[in-house]
Amino acid sequence: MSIKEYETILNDVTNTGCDFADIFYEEATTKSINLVNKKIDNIYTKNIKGIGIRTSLNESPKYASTSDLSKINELVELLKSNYHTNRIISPISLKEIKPNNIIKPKIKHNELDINKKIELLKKIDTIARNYSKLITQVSCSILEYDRYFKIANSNNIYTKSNYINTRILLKVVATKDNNQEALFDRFGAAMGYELLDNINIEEFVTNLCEATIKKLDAIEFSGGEYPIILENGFGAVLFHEACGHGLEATSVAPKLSYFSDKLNKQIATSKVTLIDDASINNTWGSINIDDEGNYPQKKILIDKGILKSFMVDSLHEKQMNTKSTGSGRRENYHYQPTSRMTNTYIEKGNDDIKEMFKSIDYGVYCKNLGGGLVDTNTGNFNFDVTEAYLIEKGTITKPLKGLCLIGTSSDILNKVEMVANNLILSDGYCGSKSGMIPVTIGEPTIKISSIQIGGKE
Amino acid sequence: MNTLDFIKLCKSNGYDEIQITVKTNKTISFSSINKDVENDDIDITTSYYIYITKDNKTINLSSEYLDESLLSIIEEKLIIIEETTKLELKTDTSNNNEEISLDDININDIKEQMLNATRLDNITYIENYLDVSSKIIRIINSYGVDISSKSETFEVGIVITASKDNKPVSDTTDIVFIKKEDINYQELLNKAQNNALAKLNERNIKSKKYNCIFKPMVVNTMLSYLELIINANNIEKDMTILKDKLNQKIFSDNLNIYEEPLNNNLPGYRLFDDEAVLTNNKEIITNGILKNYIYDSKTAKKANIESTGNSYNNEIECTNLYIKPGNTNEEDMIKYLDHGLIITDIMMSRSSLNPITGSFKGQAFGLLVENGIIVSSIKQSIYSTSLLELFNNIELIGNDLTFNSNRIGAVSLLIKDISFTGKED
Repeated sequence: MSIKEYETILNDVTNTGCDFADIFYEEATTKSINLVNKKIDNIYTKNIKGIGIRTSLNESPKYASTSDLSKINELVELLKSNYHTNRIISPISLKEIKPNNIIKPKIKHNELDINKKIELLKKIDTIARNYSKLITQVSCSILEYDRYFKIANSNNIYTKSNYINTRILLKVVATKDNNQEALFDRFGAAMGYELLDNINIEEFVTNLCEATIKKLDAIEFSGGEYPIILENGFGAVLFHEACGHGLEATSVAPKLSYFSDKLNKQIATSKVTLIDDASINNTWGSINIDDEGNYPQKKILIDKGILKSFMVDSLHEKQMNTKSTGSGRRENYHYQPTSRMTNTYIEKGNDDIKEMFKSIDYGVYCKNLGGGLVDTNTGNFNFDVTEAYLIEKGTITKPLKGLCLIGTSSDILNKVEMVANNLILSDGYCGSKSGMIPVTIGEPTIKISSIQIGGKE
Repeated sequence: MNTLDFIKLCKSNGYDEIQITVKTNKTISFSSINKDVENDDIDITTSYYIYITKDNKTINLSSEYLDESLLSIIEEKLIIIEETTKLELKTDTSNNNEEISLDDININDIKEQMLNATRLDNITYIENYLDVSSKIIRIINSYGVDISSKSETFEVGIVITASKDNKPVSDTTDIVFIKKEDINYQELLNKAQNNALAKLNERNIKSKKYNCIFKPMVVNTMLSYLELIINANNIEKDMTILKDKLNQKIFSDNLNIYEEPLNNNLPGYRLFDDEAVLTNNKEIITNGILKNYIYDSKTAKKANIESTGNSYNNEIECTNLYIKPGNTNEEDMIKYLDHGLIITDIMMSRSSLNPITGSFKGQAFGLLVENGIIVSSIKQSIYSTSLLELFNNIELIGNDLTFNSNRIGAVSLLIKDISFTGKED
């Protein structure tokens, strides 16, 4: 559809008294090439194409979406029927704005021959199997995600943007006697196949094999409250779940979040500075423009323990009394956008990692975390620890298994005791009201003074 | 391009067999927080799951549109994928159906009730969800087969937050109905508010083994884990504790679990799966004995058996998997428990299940029972168990069968000796 057609639809849908409207058109392709035990087992593909139209009055939205573009008029009439006055906003005259140029692929997905991709997967499989005879199963895949969208809204904005994400995923199973352990790792970015210049495949594979084999000898750990050290990188999923979601306008505006009334208050130790920055070049969770046509920003959410800002989408601007922070995101056109995280990380500190370990007489080194859940209403969270080691008298002694971390948002932030300077970012997916979206999480190595650990009773 | 034209296009490009599963889904989603509307959405989507066979290789892809651009994807898959199993297409056209359409469903009365929900004292938030899903699944193939089935579900969710002394607690309800007239929102709301209020008075529990009542929402999660470990993909990869356990007694004598896709009184009614394999009602667990694994065409062929008709959304899943209800009501179950815990919610991610051992752990929320009476809620506590332990230690089975959005039905179970890690006062 042309810009004029978008303008016509917007002028029509706003005729009966809504005070805001936008249109989101999207085409996206997901492709995953999977090698399972030395064979290309499947190439999964999913193509979507469709449109979503949103109207709102006093920030109360109505949304209609379809994969059938011939139904647009039907959706427009349906949305118009929700309002019963004359037009209350000025006629719309769209002007195109250019998105940022943060995601700049050098080698697009279709520019690398499929056989090269398969060669890469087979190389990963070979490295893993050659690492040790204990590695009994290997499955790896390459994920390609390409997305194109156009946005037009009643604030006269029209824009279009492309996204690209590429990711390598690996799962290995190690077997010894009757014992089996499996671990998973991934490496992704908002770029094309230049991703391969940013990853040391040999190291990526052997590190995972080593950790999986170590886990074969892991022992069960008695639950209780102990200090922990969280490894840099994906350990930050703890903060993503424990406080990130509670800083999104979607839960702050209706005052569902523990943090709703804490702006400019000390909510964490002074070691904690939490940032959400959608504008880091080619990073997994980066965006050129958000799904509402707002430019992405770097936001300091917590500054040295003081809550400084929230992540805000267009719909919640009035309730939050602030402009959008470019945080409106969604999985695809089937969802309305809501305020979401992008690249969220704990800023580096200056504590020494050796000192962190020395300070722990008995505790746990959490090298990798699995999935986590949070109830933003109560702040309760829960995480699986996929790779963990016992710390005894400042030294790592034994691998542990079957652990989970449990706590509340308010509590954990006030227990961040030490923060190192080795910040790294890690890629993941986040599921929330507007679907699953790519997000980055990151942190330096961090010591938590105490947390409840679930283990074997 | 319509489905028949796409089949013709594929035929003209030399493909031997083509089958397309067309899913048309109309979803109305409404949500509110207290008296404010959060979402009022409608989505109408058609998705195509395409199966193409050439030279005894079958590949599949999914798309929201049909056009010539899909041919290059098909070609690439046919060349690259090394190991495929030929999908045996349905050729019998005797039960071809006439075209069916989606009905308009009016839910304004329930929306109204949700927006006018009255909060009891100490209740800070009421969040409501109502998702109405109307689906038509139609399978068309190059042998002239054209079959359809239609279903409707109404999912009601209520999240209650109660607060005392600035300490919030929450309670979640999530139930699927197949008829709108079966929804008694006011009753669900009252129950949810009372459940949340009961959690305000928290108490630490000692770390030890407890006899517990697991409420249907919790048992539902356990059943979704069972679904995972009877899945032929995991059997084939040695990634399940239930490998080679067919016809062996693995759970308590009193446990019976069925999959009934053909029961049209349940929310996951399906005449055929996504591969057009006719479904059948089957026993999964009979008197504690494992009776069936679940297969799609690919895994069935490898195992040299027939597909069990469990291919849904490109995965191997059950539809209408449920525990046969017992005859114990809530009140009697609490009396029988006498001392122990009622677990109303758990917080754990799917990755915490180790399918090889069947073990898992997570955070539990619920109530403490002493002398057959609920005396308080329980403070932050962690359970650690396994599916074998859970389903082997069943003392009583409730009569409160409840289905969730995954088409899984569960009842309350009274289970003995489950380990909890609490905090000492």
